Amino acid sequence: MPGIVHPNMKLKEFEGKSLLNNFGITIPKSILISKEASLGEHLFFPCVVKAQTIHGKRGKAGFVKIAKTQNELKFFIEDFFSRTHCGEEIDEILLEEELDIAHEYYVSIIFDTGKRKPVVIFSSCGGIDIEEHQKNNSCFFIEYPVCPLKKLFPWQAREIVIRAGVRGKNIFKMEKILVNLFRCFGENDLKIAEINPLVETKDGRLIAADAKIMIDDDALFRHNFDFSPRKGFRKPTPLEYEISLIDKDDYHGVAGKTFLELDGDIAVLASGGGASLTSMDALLSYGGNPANYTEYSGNPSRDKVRRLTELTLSKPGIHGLWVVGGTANFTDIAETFQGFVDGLLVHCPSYPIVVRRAGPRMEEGFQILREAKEKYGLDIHMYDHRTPITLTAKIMVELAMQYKKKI
Amino acid sequence: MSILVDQNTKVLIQGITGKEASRACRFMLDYGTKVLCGVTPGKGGEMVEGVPVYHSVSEALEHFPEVNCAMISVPPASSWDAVAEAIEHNIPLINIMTETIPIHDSAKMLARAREKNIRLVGPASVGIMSPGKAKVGFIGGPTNQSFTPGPVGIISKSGGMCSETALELTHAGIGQSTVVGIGGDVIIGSTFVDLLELFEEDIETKIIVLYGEIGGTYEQDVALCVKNGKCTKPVVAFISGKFAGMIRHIPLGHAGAIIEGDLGTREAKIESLQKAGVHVVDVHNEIAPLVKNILFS
Repeated sequence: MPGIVHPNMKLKEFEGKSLLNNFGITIPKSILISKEASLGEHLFFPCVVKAQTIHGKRGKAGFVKIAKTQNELKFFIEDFFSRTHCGEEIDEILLEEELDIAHEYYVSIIFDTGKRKPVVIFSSCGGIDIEEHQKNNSCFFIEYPVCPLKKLFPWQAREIVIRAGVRGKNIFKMEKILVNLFRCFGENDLKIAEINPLVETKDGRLIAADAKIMIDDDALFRHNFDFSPRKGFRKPTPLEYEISLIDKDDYHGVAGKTFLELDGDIAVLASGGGASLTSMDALLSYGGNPANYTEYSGNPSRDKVRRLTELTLSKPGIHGLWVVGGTANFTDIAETFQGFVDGLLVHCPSYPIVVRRAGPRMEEGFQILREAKEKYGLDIHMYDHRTPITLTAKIMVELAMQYKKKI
Repeated sequence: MSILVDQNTKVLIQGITGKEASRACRFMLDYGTKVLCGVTPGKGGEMVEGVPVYHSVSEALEHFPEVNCAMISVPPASSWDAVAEAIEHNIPLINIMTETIPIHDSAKMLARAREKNIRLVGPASVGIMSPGKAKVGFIGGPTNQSFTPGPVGIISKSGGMCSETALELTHAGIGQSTVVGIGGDVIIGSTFVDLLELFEEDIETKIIVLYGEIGGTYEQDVALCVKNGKCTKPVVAFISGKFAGMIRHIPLGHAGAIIEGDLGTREAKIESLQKAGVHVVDVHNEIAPLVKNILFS
């Protein structure tokens, strides 16, 4: 089943580390265990047992443990695979050598929206409390912007780590890590590359003990990554799954590509990204509770809008339907309204329906609605571009309340 | 007056033979915008809506050296190349329509444009319109009915809400000086602050309306700009994302609308704007009445 996909490809730890390793950054000795496979032979103890999740803060949720024996390891594996982290199922577990930590550093590269360029962030205090350190300013973070047209030069990398207090041979080891991490960031189209902690072991090695990597989805076309598809943050509901099929049969226009089932009582059929989200904001501001969120746009066919309407309204407990959109430039309002009426008549609801829309062939579109209203006794309230989009949220919420009181 | 585009804007469209771009070309011409030429490599010699097409920017500029604005509507994978071509030929204003451009490419475009003192608007911009004068891009569609000339500058991350915001002002009897869609990407060529500084200098603009959203720090930068007195004209802002923030584990909408930490939340943005003296409305339809109030009080 396709999930609700996160627009940014966040990598799991083992995937991120494999990218780093390709760029010459040392990672711990490790074994990956997947859900289906049984334990292999080359186990080592003690080992750090780490659930592979997209969500952060897994350590605090008990998904990172140290196993000293095979029995302990089996116990943790069974436990991890049986639980979820923020709704996310565990599919892989990484077993790693336990590092003999002398010191923990922090290094990341992100895009800074203030400077509008990549920024290398380095600190000689890394570890799990990094967010606290950032908040309290209890630690010194070097932020070093880099021109995206150039590379990170070794002298720049040394400047960064020396400013952070790194001394001796570590200056040159760190220099290589930073230069390589910046190459990895650029060549893989990363949005975020974070190593926290970057561990210095007692025998003097520098090892990426964790990796938080996010790839730019918009750049996937020029890479051949073989990471498994992201499953998203929760499984789609049966209704969400069914609606996700609408666009598969017909590529013209979008109907229900984004559909979220929510727990309110006002069904929503919105059009246009910005207008849709602004409308949902208004619905919440006026005290409404959406039963779903969805969009149709780009001139979808009558049949696609019919299916979207029919399925959206199949949800029980609806007290109002809000069809909302701005002034379309290209979407045929008469055609989409005809599809809407087709879907509506499957249910013939008694609850109030508020429609706000404008655009090409809107007069014919509203005429279709008026005819359906009279013929089938539907409670349709119609508004065009002369009424602000978000004002119809207020009208919808009030009508739904009255309806709820009546029934 | 107005900012960025007016009667003297002379446009070259890169990607002019594309479906969207040729339609925009017709609507721009209908509106009176001077579209002089277009570029699509391999299609030189063709005409689109009566506008000559050339193989390269350099060839187009040989015939039309007076071009001062490039509109970019090419596939995402060729955008960095197309924008670089316009930059290296010193076209001073580049408006990028293309959506889903890789963030590394956007950062490179902007870095190079800054070196050459060239202004980028976009990526993922719906366009720029100075009502009654000219428009660049898809903004206004075929009818332009939402827009009227007047004293309000609009800067919006959402393309669709550019016309909706203008429409509500128009219905309240208030026109606009220039309306700019800046796009909702993480890295954008012109930010709210960049354009506030232009509106500050524009005599016609009396008040500025911002449509912001969750994610990033461009809205917070406005607070700093106003606080430091770099923008002395009244600013009215709407920050979308009440709903998106409620379901923040499932990001919707623009690439830049992703909250990392506490900085990008709607609450944080509203708080910093209000502290700086920006008028923030909770619901979008409160913009027009508030603007009217400020203008006529």
